[in-house]
Order: sequence, then structure tokens, then C-alpha cells
Amino acid sequence: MKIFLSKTMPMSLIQKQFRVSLDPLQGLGPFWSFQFRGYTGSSNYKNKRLTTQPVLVEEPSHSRSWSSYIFPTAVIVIAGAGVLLHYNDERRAIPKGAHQNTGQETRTINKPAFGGPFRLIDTEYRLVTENDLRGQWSLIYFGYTSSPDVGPEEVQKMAKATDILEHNIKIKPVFITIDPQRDSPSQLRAYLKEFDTRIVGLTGSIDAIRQTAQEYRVYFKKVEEDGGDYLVASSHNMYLMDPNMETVRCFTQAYNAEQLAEDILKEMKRSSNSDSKSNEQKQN
Amino acid sequence: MVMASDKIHYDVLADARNSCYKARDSFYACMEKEASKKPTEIATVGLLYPAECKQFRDEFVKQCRPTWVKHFDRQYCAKKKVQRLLDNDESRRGPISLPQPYTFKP
Repeated sequence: MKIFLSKTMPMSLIQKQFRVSLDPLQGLGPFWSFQFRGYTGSSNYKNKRLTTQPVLVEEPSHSRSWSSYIFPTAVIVIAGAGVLLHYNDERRAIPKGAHQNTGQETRTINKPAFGGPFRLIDTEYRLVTENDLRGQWSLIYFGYTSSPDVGPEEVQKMAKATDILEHNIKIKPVFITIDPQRDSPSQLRAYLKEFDTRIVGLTGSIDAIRQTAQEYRVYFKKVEEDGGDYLVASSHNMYLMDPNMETVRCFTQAYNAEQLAEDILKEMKRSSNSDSKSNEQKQN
Repeated sequence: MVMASDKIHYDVLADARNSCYKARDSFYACMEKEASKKPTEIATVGLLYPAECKQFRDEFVKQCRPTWVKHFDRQYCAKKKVQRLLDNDESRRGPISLPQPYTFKP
């Protein structure tokens, strides 16, 4: 009959334990003594220690298991990230031997990312989409008819460059207005026919124009409002598109007509050279 | 679809533009010629011009749209400013920033 009294036990518990240990096999006590009999029936040292300090024993083992999981999970996460990066690197790597094949692809990748589909209206009130410009080289300028000086200069430049390139290749100049509220198709026709009848004038609803300008990365904004009149600030760029409606390059205001024509010719020759090269490769 | 009115703005077509450019050029030439005179009249955007050029100014304003007048005036002012900076004219220098003696006494 061993009675183990721990300091953390309240007096009632000590008494209960004392009683149970005195009569271990008595089955007629109150409910709580049954519970204790189950634990302390054998009057084993170990069992008694476990029941006396159930809460204390569980606490340290609980916190130890939680903190011990941090380190392995961290290791696994870092290892997983490393595996992902390595896999990504291998996927993106271009092996050394594939240079000839990727030569053509890298040239297309390096093109500026302008361009996209559009639905606009030309001076005859016909619907024009980007598919109508396929099959020939085109030069697109975004402007407006009420421009004081820059607009007319640029359109004049475009017309002159088209003239210079006339005997080499036909290039289609396109004028897309960024002021559709004032530039109706008839206004565009009257404006453009003074420069060159070949220039295609496109306008549309303000939403269509805004979407097109966004695709071509053209900045435009109403400035200088004076009653009903205003000017439109814009980036005066001309975009050269190849027959597949992909942007080859853009020309800023600094070019004059002769330089423009020369550079357009250069781009055409370069693309026709690479086309023939890729054809040769395909045959080989 | 709702389109803008089909009005044709004739004051931006080639003839109107050319007469506007001519009036503008004659006005600015007058300003250059009378540069020694004191500018008393007010143009737009802070530009002043002497009274001798008044008739050219009126012609200029008549031929061109108001927004264009402002645009050209602003351009002219910018050009004059750059010219002044490049002129190396000693008479209009601002305060010179020479190294000052150290005045802070702890």
C-alpha cells in the first residue's frame, strides 16, 4: 500500500487516491472512484505518476513536436523551390547547337510589340480592319486634321516618301485620326486629298480609336481647350508594317522624307533576305 | 453608330493653313525687326509685342484659330528663351554664385 503524494495535488485528490488504494477492488464507490480504480488499480508506480501529472506531462511533449516540425518543412520548401528554379532554367535554356533554327525566331521575337486588330471606317464609310492591310507594306501615322504644324508636315513626309518609293515598291500610307469627334470621313477626305490621294484615312468611334491607339502604343490627349476648340498632344510616330501586319519599326519626327524612304527600302530588303534564307533552310 | 457631325472644317485645310502660316511669319518678322522697341501690347501666353506690329498681330489672329495662335506664341517664346541662353549677353546676367565665406559660427 503505497501512497504517493505530490505537491501539486489538491487535498481531495490525495484523499481519493488514499481511499482507492486502501480498497482497490471495491466496486461500489461513487463514480469518480471508478475512474481512479481504472488508473490506479494495479498500484503501479508508473501509473500513479502519470495520473498525478497528466497536464504537465502533455504540455512539454506537445510544444516540442510543433517546433520540431519547422526545420524539416523549411528544408523541404527550400529544396522544392530549388527544384522548380532548376527545372525552369532547363526549360528556358537554348542549347548551343540550335542556332540556325532560332535565328529566324529570335528576329521575330525582337520586333517591337506594336500592332493588333482594329475596326475602323475609311473616307468612303466602308469598314476597314487590319486584314485589309495585309499583303503589302504599310506606313501608319496617327494624327489629326486640326494640327497646327506637325500634322501637315508628317503627312507631307509620308506622301513624299511614298512617291520616292513608287518605282521600287508600292507602299500604302495610312492616316488614322486621333480626333474622331471632329474628323469625320468627309473631313479626312478633304484634308488628305490635298496631300496624296493614295493615303487611306481611317476614323471611327472614340472607343475603337482608343483601342487601336493602345495597341500601337500611341499616346494622345486633348490639351489647350479653348471654348470648343482644342489641340491634341500625341506621340508623332510612323509605324512601318510588313505584309503580315507585324510592326517592323517606328519612325519618329526626326526623319525627313528621303531618309524615311531609304530606311523603308532597307527594311524591305532585309526582310526579303531573311525570307529567302528561311526558304533555303526549309529546303535543306 | 453615332458619328461626329459631317461638317468639313475649312480652316484647317491647305489654303487656310498657308494663309495662317504667312500671317504668322510676317508677324514674327515684325517682332524681330522691332526688337529694340519696348513691347507694350499683350499677346497670348505671356508674349508681349511692340505697338508697331499691331496690324500684323490682328491679321495673324484673324487668319488662324485661337488655339493655333497660342501654340505658335508658345513656340516663339521657347525659341527666344533658348536664344537668350545661348546669346552670352553679359548685360542680362543674374546674381553670380561665387563661393561665400563660411559664416556659420558654432
